[in-house]
Parts: sequence; structure tokens; C-alpha cells
Amino acid sequence: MNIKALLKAMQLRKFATALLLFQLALTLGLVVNTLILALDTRDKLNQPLGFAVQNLLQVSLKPTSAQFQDTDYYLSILKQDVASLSALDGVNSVAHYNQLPLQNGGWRRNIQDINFPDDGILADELSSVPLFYSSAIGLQNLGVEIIAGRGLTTADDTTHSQQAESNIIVTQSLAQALYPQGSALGQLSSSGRIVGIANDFLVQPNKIGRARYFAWFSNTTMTRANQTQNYVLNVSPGQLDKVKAQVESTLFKVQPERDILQVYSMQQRLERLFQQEAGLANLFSVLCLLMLLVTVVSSFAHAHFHVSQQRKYIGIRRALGARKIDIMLHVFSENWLISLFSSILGIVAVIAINLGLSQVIVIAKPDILLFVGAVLLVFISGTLATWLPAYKTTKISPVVATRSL
Amino acid sequence: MEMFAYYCRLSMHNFNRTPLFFILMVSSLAVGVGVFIANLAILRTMSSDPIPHKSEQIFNVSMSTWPDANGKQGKPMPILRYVDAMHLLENNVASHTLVHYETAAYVRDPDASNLQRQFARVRATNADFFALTEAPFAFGGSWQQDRAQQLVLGHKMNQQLFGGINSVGKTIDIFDQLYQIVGVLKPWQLKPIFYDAAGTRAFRQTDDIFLPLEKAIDSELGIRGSRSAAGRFESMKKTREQDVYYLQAFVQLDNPQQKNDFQQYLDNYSQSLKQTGQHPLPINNRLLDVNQWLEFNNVVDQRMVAFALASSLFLVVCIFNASSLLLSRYHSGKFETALRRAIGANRKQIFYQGLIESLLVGLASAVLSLLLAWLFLQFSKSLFPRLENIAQFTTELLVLGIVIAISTTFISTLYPLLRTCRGPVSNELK
Repeated sequence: MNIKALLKAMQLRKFATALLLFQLALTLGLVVNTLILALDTRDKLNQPLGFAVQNLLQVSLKPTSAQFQDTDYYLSILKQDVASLSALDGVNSVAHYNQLPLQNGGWRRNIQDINFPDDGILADELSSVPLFYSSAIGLQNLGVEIIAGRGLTTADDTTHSQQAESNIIVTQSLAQALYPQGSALGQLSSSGRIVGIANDFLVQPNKIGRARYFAWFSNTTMTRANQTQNYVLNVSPGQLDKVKAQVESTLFKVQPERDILQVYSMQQRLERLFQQEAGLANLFSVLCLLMLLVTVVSSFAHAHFHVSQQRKYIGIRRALGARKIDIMLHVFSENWLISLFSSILGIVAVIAINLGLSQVIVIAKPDILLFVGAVLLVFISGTLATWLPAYKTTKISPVVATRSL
Repeated sequence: MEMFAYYCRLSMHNFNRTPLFFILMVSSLAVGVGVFIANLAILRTMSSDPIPHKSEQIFNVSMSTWPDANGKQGKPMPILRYVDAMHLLENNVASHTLVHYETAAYVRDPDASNLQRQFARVRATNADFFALTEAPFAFGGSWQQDRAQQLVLGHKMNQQLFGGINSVGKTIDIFDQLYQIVGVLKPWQLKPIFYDAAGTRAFRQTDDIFLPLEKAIDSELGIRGSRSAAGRFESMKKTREQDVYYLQAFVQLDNPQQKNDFQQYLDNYSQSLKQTGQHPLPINNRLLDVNQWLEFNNVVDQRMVAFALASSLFLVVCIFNASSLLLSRYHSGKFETALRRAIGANRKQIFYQGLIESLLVGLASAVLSLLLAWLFLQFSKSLFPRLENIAQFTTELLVLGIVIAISTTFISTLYPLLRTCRGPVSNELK
């Protein structure tokens, strides 16, 4: 292969070649960054959650009538709701929650040791920790294990005695953050006495580090009629859809004056949480595809241009004894050479686009494997696009050479 | 004019001769421009000024009155306590002052035979709200007393409950209490909703119902927005005394002097709290005008900005692509051009003919790009349900789309065309 001749041929049409080079480099840059976004979204959706997401069904609802403003009425309906949902076929257990794991924002409060000095500076991660008000089985119902101490019991219920010191369970990470020196068990925190430590589970996926697993649970029922109520149903495997269909009618049978906002699986909740990220990744993927398509068109045009411009030379070469396959290879290798150059230029494009994007969104640094993959993709699509023009060159007869002399 | 018609005919002839090239060129430019315009449509709405003639005079009030030095870093909080908010309302510096919180209710027309209740987003606020935000009244007006059992109805809710008639004087049942309607709003678009701009709230519809603040608290209508409390609070009424932060406040200050006076008014208040030991944090009261406030809340979705970066790169690639396509086409048309030159057309005429051709291509890609932009907007909406109320096509964008499509076509034609004009005649005709 005569690289020199190829380079010379390209010099004949600097402008067109430069255009294609830049185009391929930009395409590479976008493809790599799109892959980063897409993989990152996939990782987020597949991160270990630490609780039985697959078997959980969530119901959120709101009372629509003023009757619920009466605490006793509110509590009695809640009790009936839990009882009749639990009685459904395939349901293992049901509990109410003031909020659910897998969320951003929500109910949070600072938590520290009761003897934390007034003028001490509390770590940022402890200044807003998600708090869960649920029944005694709140954690078990989610499929979260207690790893030290005990679970909550009905005796820990503080619904009617809110000033009393309550017993709480904290997650392992939170226990370590609160009492790095010793065991958190039995300690009195600003939110209550720690009687148990639960396994870590994913509460706030968008936080960084261990704060994602921070949470504490107490056995309390909030009775505010204007707040959204949440029930979580722990369902036997495979029964999710069957149970889901019965939830609404079961609740309406207990009390019809409710607005059932959502009934969906915990899995769907996770997907919704990352809907924006997934949406962006999809948007980029579509753009990426379009860009590859445009690049294919350009590669095609470029090769076509080459062939039409060099008819004469090709004819001469054929007349001098070049085989059809040599001519074809010549056209292909021009494309490959351009792809090679654009890969080098593409490194700059990848980094530049990555830096640009990191100004506005969170995006990981590019890695070499992704880059190699993207280069391969561009090579393949370039080669495919060159196929037709390259094939056409074989149709150029050596006679062309004699004609134009 | 005659030449113009001739050039058009010539261009049409060229299109017919090499349709594939023109289709590829038009469609690649159209895709590039379409995606770009769709993204622009979203970004423009997100970054628009909701109340342009007054945005520099309306200020959000944030204070640092948190009662506990622990935990908070002393940053001004955009939510205020009831006592702080009431002190704000007593000022006689600002032209208008509003405080509000968001709540919700299930409502029905008590005269309707249907017992079904409808969900309504409720803004609990003071009467000055309407003057400050310039909410347009269709019928009636605001309430006059803080505790009046009266309300103002949004346009949509009036449609839903009463079919859009003048419902002033009628009543609405909110949790078994009857409220009298004193005003009905016209359709009211506020994008973004500057008075409640945190998180994703800025691009919702305006509220369904507006209630007197004191009445809402008395009726125990709970807080739906962001809130912070230093302790547990049992009821809405208790929020009047307890350290519960949930009210947002805005003031209208017409000139810098007024702004200084108001800042002074706030600082004096904080100082008085400090003297009685109720203000442990450093005094840090902040006034941000509407646009600063929207920026502070990151109302423009950074994801869309990221996509704007990508879509403008894509547009560049599309222009490159069209250019290289044209180069290739002009090359194959070399002989013809040379022939026309040889029989008397000068370079200028060749150039004009090329321009007209690019104008026609530009028009074709403009039409296609608008169609694609619309499709892409629908697609974006399906990916981001939150964009529902944001992604909008305006006439301004329509014009912009056409201009961009034609100018990008022109840019991509420029170099190939110049080369064609400059080409030597003799070589090609041999």
C-alpha cells in the first residue's frame, strides 16, 4: 500500500478531507460521551439496593374528606386498610410509611448524640437524615434485616405520646457516622434511644458515599389528613400484578373518600427516580445515531467524490495493470486513513466535549475502552459507506485512460 | 426577474438530475436544524423572564432567622416563619408585599349532584398577591379581609367546576367548609412561576385556587412545599408560634432607595431578634430580583443545556456534511458550468444561480426541519414528562427555524460555490 500516494490524493481535495476529518472526530466525541451517560444510567438502575425491591408494591393515597382530620378516625381507617390489604391473597405483610426509600428530599432531620455540644459543628451528612415513621414491622416489611439489637415492637409505639423518649432503629452506616468510636446500640440520640441497627439499604440514591444509606425508623403514625399516606405491600414472588389489580377496590371498600394517587412496584419507583437521567441518555443516544447516519452519508459522499474526481487516474492505473481489488482497496484505505487521523483528533474532541458537559451535568471521565469501541464503530460505518463507491471503481474500464489522453 | 425565473428552472432541473444528493443534503440539514430548534424551544421557555416589565422590581426575601446555630451554615433561607412573614407584611416600605405557602384540597361545587371531589392546588396568600403578580382577573377581585371565608378561582378550575361562567358569588366546598368565590382569573400563563420556583415547581400550571392565608391556617390546610421545623408541630395553627419555616415572601421595590430601605427594615428586625437572644446565626438577609432568584433555583434544566451543547455540535456536523455533499455534486457538474461560462455567463451569474439554488434547498430544509423539530419535541416530552408544560412552539421560533435553515444552507454552499465559480474554463471543456 502506497501511503504517500494516498496522502497526495487527499491533498488534492484538502477541504473535503478536512471536513470529513472534523466530522468524524466530533462524531467520535459524541459517541464516547453518550456511551458514558448510557452506562452510568444503567449502573444507577442496577446498583445494589439492600432490600426486597422485586416484591414490593407501593400505594400512595390522600384522604379527600374532612372526616380524616379527626385523629381517631384517621387511625381506625388506617388500621382497617392495613388489615384488609394484608388479607389479600399473596400478600405477606403491609405497613404504612411517612415516606419511602429511593427518593430525593422528603422528611429529614438532623441527628446527633444527645450530649452533642450546643456550639459544636455537626457534620453536613448528619444535618439532614431521612426519618421514617412506620409500624413495628416497617423494616421487616421492606425486607431489611436487623443486624444488631432488636426490632421495634408495638410497645415502642409513640403515636399517642409524642413527647416520650422513643426507641429507634438506625442503619449501619448511620450508626457508624453517629458513634465512630463505639457501638451505637443503647445510645441516646437527639431523635431517640437506639435499640437496633439495621442493614444498610439505599434510601437516597443521589447522595454521595455512605449518606445514601442513612435512615432511622421509629414506630409512629402521622395522622395529618392533608399529607400523602403510603402503604407498602410485601408480596410473594410472582403475585405482584394480581395484587396490584385488587388494591384500589380493597381500599375503597374500607373507605371510598380517598384519592389513590399511585399504585406501583418499587422497581418502577427506582426507574422513575432516574427517569431524567435515562431520558437524557436516550436523547443523546438518538442524537448519536443521527450523527452516525450523517457520517455514513458523508463518508459515502467523500468516497463518491473521490471516485468521480479520479476516474482518469483509476483508468490509468487499471491500464498499467492494477487489479480491481487493488483499486477497491485503494478507496477503502483512504477511508481508513481518514478514520485513523480522525481517531487521533477524536481524542481531543472526546475530552473537550466531556469537559464541556461536566460544566453542566455530572458525567464520568472517558475511558480508553469506550474510546476504542467508538473508534471501531466509526471504522465499521465508514467502511460500509465506502462500499458502494469502491465497488463502482471496479466498473471503470482501463479504456478511460486512453480516452482522456 | 427573468433571470431569476430562469435560475429557478435551472435549479429544478439540477434537482431532478441528481435527486439523491439533494434529498440527502436537505434531510441532513433539516435534521440538524430540527434538533437544534427543538432544544432551543425548551431552553427559551426555561430561561424566559416571566414578568419582564417588573422583574427587576420584584424581590424574593430570604432570611437567616433559624433559632439554632447548629447544623445550618447561616445561609439565608427562602422559607420564613409565620412571625417573620407577619413582620414583613407590616412594612410600609415596599409597594407590594406577598407571602404564601402551597397547600392542596379536594373540592366540589356544593350544588352539584355529583359527590365526586376534584383535586385542587391551593395557594394560601395575602390579598396583595394579585397586585404584585398582576394576576389577570376575569370577574370580581381579591378578598378584603385576612380571615374571610372567600377565595379566588383559577381559570381552569372555574371551567371544571362551573363550565367557565361568571361564578362570583357562588360557593365551593373545601373539606366540608363553604367558601364564597369573590374573583375568577383569566387564563394565566406564568413561565416560569417565579413565586414558587424551587425544584421542578417552576413549570407547572398556575394555581387552581387562591385562599386568604389566615383562613387556610385556621382551616388546617397543610403545607405542600418545602418546610423546615426546629421541632415537631402538631397542627397548622401551632405554626403561628412554633419555629416552622414554610412561607415564601416577595416584595415589590420600585427603586434602589426603596430597596435599601427595605434591606434596612429586614436588618433592623433581625437586630431586634438578636438583642433578645433569638437570632443565634449571623444576620444574613438577602433580596434577589426575579431573574437572580430563578437563576438561584436553577430553573433552567442543566440537562437541556448539556443537550444544547451536543445538538449544536450536531448542527455543525450537518453543515459539514451538506458541504461535502455539495462539493461532490458541483464536481460532477463541472463540465456544465464550464460550458455555461464558455458561452457567456460570467462568474457573478454562476454565483447568483448557485445562491438561488441554495435558497431553494434552504426553503425545503426549513419546511422539513420545522416538521422534524415538532416531532423531536414530542419525543423529548415522552422522555421527560416534566417538559409537558415547557416544550412549546412559538411563531418566533418558527421564524428563527426558517432563518437558521436558510443560513446554514448558505454557509454550507459557500465554499463549494466559490470553487465552482473560480474553476478554469478551458480544462473542463477539453
